[in-house]
Amino acid sequence: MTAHSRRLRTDRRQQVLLGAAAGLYAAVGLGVLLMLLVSSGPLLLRVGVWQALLGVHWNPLAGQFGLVPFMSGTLLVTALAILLALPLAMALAVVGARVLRGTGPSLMTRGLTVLAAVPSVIYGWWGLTTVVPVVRRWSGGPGFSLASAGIVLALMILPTLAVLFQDALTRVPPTWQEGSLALGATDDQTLVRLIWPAARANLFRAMLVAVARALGETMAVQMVIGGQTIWQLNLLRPGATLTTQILTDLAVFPPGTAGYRALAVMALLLMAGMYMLVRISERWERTP
Amino acid sequence: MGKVLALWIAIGSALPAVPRWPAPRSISVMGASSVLAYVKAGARLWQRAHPGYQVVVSGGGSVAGLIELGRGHVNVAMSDIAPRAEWAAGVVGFPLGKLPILFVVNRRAGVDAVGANVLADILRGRIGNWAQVGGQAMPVVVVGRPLASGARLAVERQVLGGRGSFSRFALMQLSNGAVLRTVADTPGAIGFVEGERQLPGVVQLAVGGRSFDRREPNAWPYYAIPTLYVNPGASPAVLDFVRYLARRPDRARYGLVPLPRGQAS
Amino acid sequence: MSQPPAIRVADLSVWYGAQRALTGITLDVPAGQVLALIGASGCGKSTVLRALNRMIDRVPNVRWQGSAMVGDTDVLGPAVDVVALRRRVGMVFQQPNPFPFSVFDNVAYGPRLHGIKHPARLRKTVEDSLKQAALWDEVRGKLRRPARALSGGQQQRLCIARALAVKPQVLLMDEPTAALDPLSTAKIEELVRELKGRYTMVVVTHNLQQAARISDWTAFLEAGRLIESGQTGTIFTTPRDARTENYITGRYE
Repeated sequence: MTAHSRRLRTDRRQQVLLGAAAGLYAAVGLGVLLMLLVSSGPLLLRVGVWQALLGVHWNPLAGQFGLVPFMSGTLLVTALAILLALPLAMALAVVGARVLRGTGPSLMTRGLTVLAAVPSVIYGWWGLTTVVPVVRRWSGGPGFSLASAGIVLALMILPTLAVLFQDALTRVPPTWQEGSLALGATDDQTLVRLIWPAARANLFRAMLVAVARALGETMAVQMVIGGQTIWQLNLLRPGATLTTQILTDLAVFPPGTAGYRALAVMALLLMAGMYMLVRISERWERTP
Repeated sequence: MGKVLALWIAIGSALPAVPRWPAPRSISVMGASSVLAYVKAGARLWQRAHPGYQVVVSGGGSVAGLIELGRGHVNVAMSDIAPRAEWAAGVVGFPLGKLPILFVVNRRAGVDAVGANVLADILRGRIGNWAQVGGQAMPVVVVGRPLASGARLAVERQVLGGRGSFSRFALMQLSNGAVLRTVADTPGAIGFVEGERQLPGVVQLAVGGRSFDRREPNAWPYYAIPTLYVNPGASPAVLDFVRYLARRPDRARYGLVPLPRGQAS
Repeated sequence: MSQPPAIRVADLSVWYGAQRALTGITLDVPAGQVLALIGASGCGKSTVLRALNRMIDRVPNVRWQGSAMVGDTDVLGPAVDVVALRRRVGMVFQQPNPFPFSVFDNVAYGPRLHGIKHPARLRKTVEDSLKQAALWDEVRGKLRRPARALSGGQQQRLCIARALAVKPQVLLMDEPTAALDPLSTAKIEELVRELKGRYTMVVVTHNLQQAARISDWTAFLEAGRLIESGQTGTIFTTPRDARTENYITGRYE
């Protein structure tokens, strides 16, 4: 057997192994989706999709499965977290990519990566001891609130977002930046007019990762949001998100009950929302 | 290519050889966290007297424990809640005793005693300000537990009497500790916790003229009754284990009050 | 268009930290003429070029001595406005570096920086610049296409058009054809000859024939020192210094 044909065989084996791993993962993912569809199907068919989703009353023991309070809670909390984290993360990224010199950027990346690995329950604890009292003093309410959850989430996604932003900015080739400077652009103009547009796709993808983390985060949010199931839009009042409500009520509904199906619908909603975001980001990438 | 397939087949056929849980000489217990500490301690002592047996104890909540018992995945379920047929049908219960449910109020509310009906109306959300019951002018914040909580179910049955449910504006906390902390920190908050315990930073509420006293636990009316459930065909070892736990005299150290004679099974 | 300025570099020395990159360089480029800088890699050609539009500022711990007059301004002086300088002194790089935008937005980048917003004016500037860079005929009607879909040679001419769009007086070119095929190279050389007179140009090149074809003046650098400079014809036919002769006849080292 020649060395070449041996190498080909190794290649083929690697392909089979990698293919099998990818296939396994795809099967597990599809399995989860299928399970959720099968679990939620009967409920969706019975009361009709829109009635199930658009009700504002959650009282599963009385047969009310309105998910609007949780959809609204998830959207508000995620939006607040992104709004708060975005400028801070961009500031950190700009400092890391353009201001710091020498070992500065890599030190910063290391620090942020460590922060990104802090378990969410620690962020929740911080929220409980710091954010909730501040919001309480501020609003006069109980402090457990959508705003507290948004602030805790913002801090939680900040390191991830900053590292990904910094990476996106440093991926813009230095020759482009030189080209811009040589045309008489200042550093700020180069950032706004060249680097941001050039890094747009990567920046958006970074945001998507942050949104995904914010959407899916459960524990840290549950600790500070208050878990109230009435639909209301005041950020300073308590609320609940899709994930916290799944956590709260999963233990009481065995598979096969209507409540369990409602929780499956909530999980499906999260996946559908994420899929839509991915599609939007793909549209963004189809530009020069 | 052939070798890779063989490898996969080998891994696949090895999987069923992993021991099934529960193994014959092991006893698995799952359910309410309110008696987790007691059951774990008791299991250690029981194992010492029964060499060769291994008891595995895990939490997960009353309902989860009952469901797993109903499916035959565990030998024993710990539950504060009576089993519904759709969870586990025909199971046999061994009560461990009574676990007091204590009502706690934030210090700034300025209230340390209420009548039973007033307590019910506060929890239902019908009394919205502590000034209405002689306390400070401060809104009432009810701190509850999720639907899956045995304590919540007991409070709904014993305090609310099945008429109306908790305030829709109640905050939800997942554990006794979280409830306690929330009540201590939130002005005007009221909540309930299971088990006799240290209650730092909160006022323990007297209800209907009675307050909980560990020397006279049976004078306090609000209890959950954590119970061990087994399937009817449980093995002698499993039955021995649950009977042992239901009779151990040191239950009081874990806040469990022995049931008066005649109430025990 | 105003008359392009002459360039006079006098006794220029540059240090990168402790390392000396240039030693006592003195050079003249008459207004509207082309100077070719030749020499081995690392001899300091690019440093001379980058001193003229102060791109050397981007190197940490850079220091310099001496002066470099572009017209009446010493571009190395402490009070010089670097942003304004770079509008006067445009630069084209070794690797074509079009931005990831459309052809139009590439050329309009500079004018927009400097506040031109009016669409018709912008369009006129873009068209004029592309015509000057001899690219107009190839891209007309395709101005909205991504610049990076152009060929390498077209991309380099686009970069020249982009530099011309801010109406500079001087053009610096750092090995502008090093990454291009011979046909594209020929087009760039032709373009340099056409632009001569309107712009004073300094071109760094490794290609000696190219230097001979496009430049009026040639300077030979070695290890950060100017060995010889003069009219291109003279340098290539009767160099005074043996090191220059060795280099241009290929007997270098």
